Amino acid sequence: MSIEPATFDARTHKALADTALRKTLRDVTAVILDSRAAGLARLPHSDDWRDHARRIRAHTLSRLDHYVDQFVDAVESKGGQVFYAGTASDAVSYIRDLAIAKRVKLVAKSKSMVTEEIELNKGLESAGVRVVETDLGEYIVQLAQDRPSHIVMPIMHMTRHQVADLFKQKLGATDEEVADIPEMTQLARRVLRQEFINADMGISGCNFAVAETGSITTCTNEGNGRLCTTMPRIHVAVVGIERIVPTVHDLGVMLNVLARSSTGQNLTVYSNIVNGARGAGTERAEGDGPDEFHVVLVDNGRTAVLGSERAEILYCIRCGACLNTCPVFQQIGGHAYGAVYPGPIGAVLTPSLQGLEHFNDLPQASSLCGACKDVCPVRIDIPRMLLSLRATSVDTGRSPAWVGLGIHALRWVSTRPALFRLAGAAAARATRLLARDNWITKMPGHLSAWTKTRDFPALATTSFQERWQAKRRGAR
Amino acid sequence: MAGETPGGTMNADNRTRMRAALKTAVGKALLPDAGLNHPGRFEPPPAPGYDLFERFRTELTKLGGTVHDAASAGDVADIVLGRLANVIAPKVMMWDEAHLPVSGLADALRAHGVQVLMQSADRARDDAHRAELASATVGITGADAGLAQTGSIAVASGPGRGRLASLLAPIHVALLRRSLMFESLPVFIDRHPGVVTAGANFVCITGPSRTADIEHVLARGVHGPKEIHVVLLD
Repeated sequence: MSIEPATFDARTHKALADTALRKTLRDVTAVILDSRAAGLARLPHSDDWRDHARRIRAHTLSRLDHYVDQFVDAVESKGGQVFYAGTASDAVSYIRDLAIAKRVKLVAKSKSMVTEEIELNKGLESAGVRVVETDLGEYIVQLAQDRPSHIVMPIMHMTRHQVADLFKQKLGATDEEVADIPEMTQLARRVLRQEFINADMGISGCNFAVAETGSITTCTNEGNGRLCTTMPRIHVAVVGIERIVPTVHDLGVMLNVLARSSTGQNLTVYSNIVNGARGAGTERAEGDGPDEFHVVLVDNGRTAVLGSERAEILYCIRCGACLNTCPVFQQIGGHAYGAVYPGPIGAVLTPSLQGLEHFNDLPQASSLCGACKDVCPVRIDIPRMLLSLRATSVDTGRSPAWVGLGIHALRWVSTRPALFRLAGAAAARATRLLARDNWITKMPGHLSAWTKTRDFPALATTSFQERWQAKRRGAR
Repeated sequence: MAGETPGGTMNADNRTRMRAALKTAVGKALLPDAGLNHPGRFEPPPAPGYDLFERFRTELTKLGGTVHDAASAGDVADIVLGRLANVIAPKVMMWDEAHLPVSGLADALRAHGVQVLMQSADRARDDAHRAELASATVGITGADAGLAQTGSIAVASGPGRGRLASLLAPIHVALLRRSLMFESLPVFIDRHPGVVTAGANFVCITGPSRTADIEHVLARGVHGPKEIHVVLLD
């Protein structure tokens, strides 16, 4: 998907100039972070639950070959069909060919980041299959031909008025039908209900896949995830290979922390666990559910990440808390990242999956404050991996040479005390020369870029070391 | 590949490729806090005693759901009829009575002029049948568990225990035996792991269908029921 404007810098400037967006980001992230804190506070021993969830994720990935194998056997033993897709295009081809072979005209989709990642809709539409997104936010994104700006709240960047105008324009809605948010929601229910009844294939993502039982889980609030996996005759679950947990007990642990971290809810309204097709023609035949169940295991760069020092990013359970708490995300929103996965998690995951050559700016877009690590339900050390990406960036010549040279120079000076004192005194003197009333508001040459958006205080007349020594002398 | 019949096994080449890729990656992965053995179950210290029913009622009410107490099919029928008071030619969709904790509910509703729809496995792909089911105002189901800490009910699907009864209608009435109240989802799964895979589907429902996608404003009844009523029975 082409992203406009083309550079991270330009996208950031665009976002920063959008005052409505910045107000929304400020308001919504504040509310949702409060909800998260309250949600975790309602769970006794929530820190221990998080630690256990982390142990489950870590152990599972350390034996992922075993658990994926077990998962495939379990799905097949219940009559499901599994396909391993090495790349995004393998996954899209499989689903497209399946749709054509089964004469599928209409696909109902529930919200799924991995299908965004592989650009599934484009692939199906090019084969003449109509695809309808059924999560309210994703449906609006699709009508607007836009992109989601948050992994949990896709239209965080839109106002109710924009949605109302869109519904009038695309659905021919009346003023009454878009009078308020509940009315707009009911309109979407009516329109999408018919699509669910007509759909031949339902495509879902998967929050957690259970190795021992071959189950897949979708967590949704609206009920579209249940409808997509219940009404159409074929269900295709698109599953990132790292989504596995070993047992149903582990699933209980993960569900106990996911929604609380995400929206602050105790659980999402529907924690929906699919064990396979409805068993048509057998004595256990059920009255609804799909006749066929397909699982597409998507690799698309994940094994490469697993085999690297950034494997820990695969512990992620996609709650979105790191986005909400990130001071950078709070200012620029999701679109500026120019990737399916925005925020701190995306700043590690996107370059790791798709290559640093296209996303070199993302690991730089962080103050390394560590807020993401603090809120992460499975305590992923995102700052460590941002630093590792920055190092790779310098080592492979993707960052300007002066970054590396500058760091080397700093190390050379800092490890020589006399030189360090001298350089410090010179820098302090220089800042005092540039400052007015102890503040530098304008610097010369290339340095002016720094002061264009911020002021810098002049350094103190005496250094910390000098004051420390004076203090020690005084104490004696 | 796509022409394979459902239930076929994974293409051998495809599986070999998957295994090889994962095995290589696992050998090189840097995974902080990864134990060699599965970490086992998490058993938090026992929580200070509290009334599970009280907690269930509090949590579900906060979400906009309602908890009722009933002793008989007649009581349940009254609760359902209360939801149908302003509906012309009222219809309900319900599970087979064999799977409900009361008997005689369908007859009690019919006696009040309510049309009772049941799902048929033979007509699962029949559009006319599904359109009729979609016209019901109330869906009536049983439940396999109540979960106090979250105000949830857990429901396993099966023959005569359709999922659409808790999904299509704007109002869902779930009948729950009091003996099936548990502290939380992890506690329930630990005690009854088999329920999760008893049917083709297992769902844990926590309040009415909702969204906050537009401006983070709460709206209920998006695709699932706008109202959920849990009726407690002995």
